[in-house]
Formats: sequence, structure tokens, C-alpha cells
Amino acid sequence: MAGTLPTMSLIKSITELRKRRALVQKGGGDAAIEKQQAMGKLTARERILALLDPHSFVEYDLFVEHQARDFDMDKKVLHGDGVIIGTGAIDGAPVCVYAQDFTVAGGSLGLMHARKIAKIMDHALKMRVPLIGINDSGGARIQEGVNSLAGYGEIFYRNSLASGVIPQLSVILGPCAGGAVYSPALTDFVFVVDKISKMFITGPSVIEAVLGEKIGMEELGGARIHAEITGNAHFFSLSELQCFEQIKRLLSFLPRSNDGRPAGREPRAPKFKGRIEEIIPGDARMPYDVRDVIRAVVDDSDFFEVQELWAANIVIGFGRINGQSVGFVANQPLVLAGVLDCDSSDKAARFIRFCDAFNIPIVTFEDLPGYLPGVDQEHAGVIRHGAKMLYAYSEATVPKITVVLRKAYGGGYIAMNSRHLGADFSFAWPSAEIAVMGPEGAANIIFKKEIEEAADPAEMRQKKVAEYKEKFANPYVAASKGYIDAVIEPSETRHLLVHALELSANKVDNRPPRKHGNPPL
Amino acid sequence: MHSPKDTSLESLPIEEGTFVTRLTKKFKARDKWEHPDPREVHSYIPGMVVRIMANEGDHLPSGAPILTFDAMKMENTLTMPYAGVVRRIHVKPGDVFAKDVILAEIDGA
Repeated sequence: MAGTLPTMSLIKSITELRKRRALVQKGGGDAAIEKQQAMGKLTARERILALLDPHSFVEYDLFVEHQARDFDMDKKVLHGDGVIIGTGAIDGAPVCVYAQDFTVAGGSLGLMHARKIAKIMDHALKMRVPLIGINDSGGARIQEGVNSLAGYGEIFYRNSLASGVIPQLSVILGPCAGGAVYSPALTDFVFVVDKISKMFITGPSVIEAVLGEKIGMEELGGARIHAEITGNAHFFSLSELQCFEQIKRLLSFLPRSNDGRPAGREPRAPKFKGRIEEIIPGDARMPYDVRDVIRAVVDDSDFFEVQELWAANIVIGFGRINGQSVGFVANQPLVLAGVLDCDSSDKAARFIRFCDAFNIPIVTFEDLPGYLPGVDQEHAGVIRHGAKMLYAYSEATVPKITVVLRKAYGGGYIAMNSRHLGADFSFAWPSAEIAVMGPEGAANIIFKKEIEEAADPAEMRQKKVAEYKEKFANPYVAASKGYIDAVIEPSETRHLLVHALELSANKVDNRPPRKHGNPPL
Repeated sequence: MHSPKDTSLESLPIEEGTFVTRLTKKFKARDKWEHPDPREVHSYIPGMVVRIMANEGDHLPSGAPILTFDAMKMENTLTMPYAGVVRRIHVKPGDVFAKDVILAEIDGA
């Protein structure tokens, strides 16, 4: 009753609640916590508190207990059943979060553990707020048998339902093995930390037993492997705290859900003070770092790269133009000449689909010689991988802007968000070379006879290459057909991006009704 | 701009000319294509040999079993891809093998 003092019995029960809370919040107890710390890891609770805004965490299901009875499990107490779930805020915006607690039975996943995760996932989906899952688990709780398999399945199902509705982030801060890896794989972004994260389907012991191949966890599925070789991870960091900063930074570019747009910021001029036209070498065979071009046009020269270490021949990431969040896709001439191949196509395609799902306009910077030739590429299925990108660009209805910086040859020209795949704005720098193929290749085909019959074939080839270059390796042929809206000076790029984004703020692009498309997965 | 002295830069020849760029670890480690030798019978999955059914020198029809092996919790049979003579068998029961190693050599009949 208002104004009256609590009765003695209520005080007693509050004391009892506090006691219970304190006990359960200890997770697996002091010894297990010490072990966790000795591995260089924070505890699940420390992680949540470090990630969320101070005092914003609200925990659910603290008192949930497992219900397993076989193998003497009925005698075991597993606090919180090895996972912490709840809600909180990051930079003032609400998020749902779960963190597996390795100190409780190795964070193993049993039925109630999975139900807790499913509960917070349902909550995130219903409330339309981002979901962050912190994974640190030995895997299925074998004593719970098929119940733990059911648990995984229910998590995967919810990951799939929530895909494209709310941003889903997976943070790998310990082992994540076997079926458990598929929840992160289904989510939008995976964060790994050096020496802490381990992900694999079959571990080193199985591989050794079956194949006799000896490999450590780190070389098989450590953070670096997933950030650099497999592409399963999107963000690599050296410590858990650095990882949490990356998560906060990423969320700053994203909307809460597909219902809205990312929060705008105060527009800021780029910090870049050089001359943008000096970034690109005149010789189309010479490299440069395309990220310098991105930094020259984005607010504060602040570019947040995604999957920096994997398939580095294409660059993807977020920046802001006039305060508005934008996704960038750019060929990287500094790595593999910026060619498209299986990995770079996959990387770009998934990012384009993310941006499209979450109302983030896409800016494409183009400079590529084409697709990477090779038996390995053909046999790895570069046809279906490459097709993913065509599909993703064509399917996207967010504002799509392309700037051709230099080379745009053949299939590469079409693939990189050309007008023909639905670009809303298509600009080219005067250095652009838009042609059916590179001058060398084209001259060899078109002037084959003249070159072969010439007294000096090498000299004739050079002459014909120069001739072709002069006539076709420029932006004006494409511009004369309306495939390029405007040939622009490099220094006009930011201004035109601002213009294009303002103009497309209310873009409407309706597609024929369908259940869903069938992209070449 | 990257100076020509940048030691991370190498040449990448592709159809459109030769480009100066960085090569990735994965690119450098890619498998070079080799024409498969029809006389070599390779493992298509890692496993362990259970039984050898064919003998060296046997004339066998296409589809005849050469050996059985345990892989992925199942017993699998490796068969003659075409009719021919078994020239050599490189494994014995109990041997553990990786994917894509030569298990037997055969010749067309």
C-alpha cells in the first residue's frame, strides 16, 4: 500500500530474493569463473555488462532450471541452465541479448537453455529490435539427448524467420562447434576474437581419428581462419572489449529493424584533404587502395569495413553521406587487380542483400578487369557464385548508385550494379574505360587478321590496341547511349552522392508479387 | 598511390592484360589443374579399408567391387569404373586413407 512501510515478511522475502539472485548470478561458481578468466575470457555476465549501456540490462529467466533426469542429471544444479538472456540498450537503442555461460556445464545446450534463447529471440522479433547472441559453449548437452538437438533446431528456425526483419549479430567468444555453428552462420554478422573464438563442424580429434591428420583448433577454426580463409566471420578483433566496440559501431549504421531506416547523424565533411583525382594512377594496370576513394567522400572520412581480411579483392562496408548510412561495394585494384571471383561475389552479394533488407542505400565504386580466369575458379562454380551478385543487385530496391572510377569491362561492367541491373544513378569519372572487354583482348579478336598478316605482328597489335583504346576505352561511348547518366569530375563525386541520396529518399520500386525469389545460393 | 617499390605487389596476368597488384594466400595456394589418369582409382571420401575383394591381375567387369571401406558411419564399396585388369592395389584392410588418394590402378581390358 502506498505510503506504508513494507511488512516484516516482505522484507524477509526481498532478502530471500537477493540471496537467490546472488547465488545464481555466480553461474558455475568461483572455481569455474577462475578457470574462465585463466583462459583470458570474460564471464557471460561481464560480457553483457561490458556490451550494454550502464544499468540498462534487464535479465529474464534467471531462475530457469534444467529438467533432465537421466544419467544422474537430477542431482545436478545448473544455474540459469548455462545461459543468460535479457534486454538492454546500446547507445540508447534497445537490443535483445543472450550469452552462453561456459562456467555452467561448459555452456552446453540443453532443452531449457535453448528455450531461454528461443524466448529472447521471439521477443526480439516481436519487438523489432536487434538480437545479439554471445556464443561460448561446448556444444550439445549429451545427457539431454535428442532434446538438445530439438533446441538447436528451434534456434535455427527463429534465426531464419528473423532474417531480414531484425539485424542478428553473433559473437563467438569461445568454442562453437558442431551443429552450434549454424546459428551464427544464419545471422547477418559474425564477430570473432583472436585466440578465443573457435568454430568448426568436426573438431581436431575427429579429424585425427578419421584421417590421421593432426591439426590444432586454432589452425582448423580459429578467429583468423574464419576472418581470412573461410569468410564465416565478418569482424576480427584482438580482445573482447575491442569486439564490443565493433558491435556498437556496427549498430550505429543499422536500423532497429526492416521497418525503419538507420538513425541519421549530423552531416560532416570528409576529413580527407588531398585531391581525389590523385588517388588513381593513370595507367589502368597500376593499383591503388579503393578505400582511399571511399574515405574521400564519406562523412568524417569514417569508413567501417566488413570482412576486411577475406576476399579483399572486393571492399564492402558502411559509411555516411550527409549523415545518412550507406553501404559501399567497391572493387579493390590493390588485391588481385580487383577481379570478381567466387569469394568476392559471395561477399558482395550477401552484403547487398543485407543493405536491401534494411533500407540502406548502396553505393558501388567500380574498377575491375573482369572475372578471374582459371580451372579452379570454373570448377568451384564461379558461374553460380557470380550470379549471386547479379541477382542481389537486380533484386535490391533501395537507392542504388554506381560510380565507374576506371575499368569497367565485359561481364564485370554488367555485374557491378550497371544501369541494366537497375542502377538509379550511374556516374563515370573521365578516367572510366567502359567496353565489352579490355583493349588488349578486344584488339586481338577484332584485328586478328590484320595482326597475323602484318610484317611485324607485335607492332601491329600495339597499334590496334592503341586504336581501340582511343575509340572505345572511355566513358563517352556508354554515355552517348544513356547507359551513364553523367560523366563527372572526381571532385564532384560527394556532391552527386548527396544529391542522389536526397532525390531517392522516397524511392518506390515495386516488384511482381511472389512468395520469394530463387537466387543461386 | 602505391610506389613501384611496394614489395607486396606482384604481377597478375589475365585476359585484359597484366596488372600490378597483391596476390592473396588463397590465390597462391590454389590447385593447379591436372588431367585425371583413368588408370588411377581415387578415394572420393576419407575412410578405412574393411575388405579387399579384387586381386592384382584379376580381369573384372565394370561395376565389380574392388574393396569396401568404412566412411561416415557406413560401409561403402569401391567398384571398377570400367571393365579391365586390376594392376595394383595400394591399400590393405585397416588402412586409413584421405580423400583423393590412389587406392588402386587398373587398365582397360
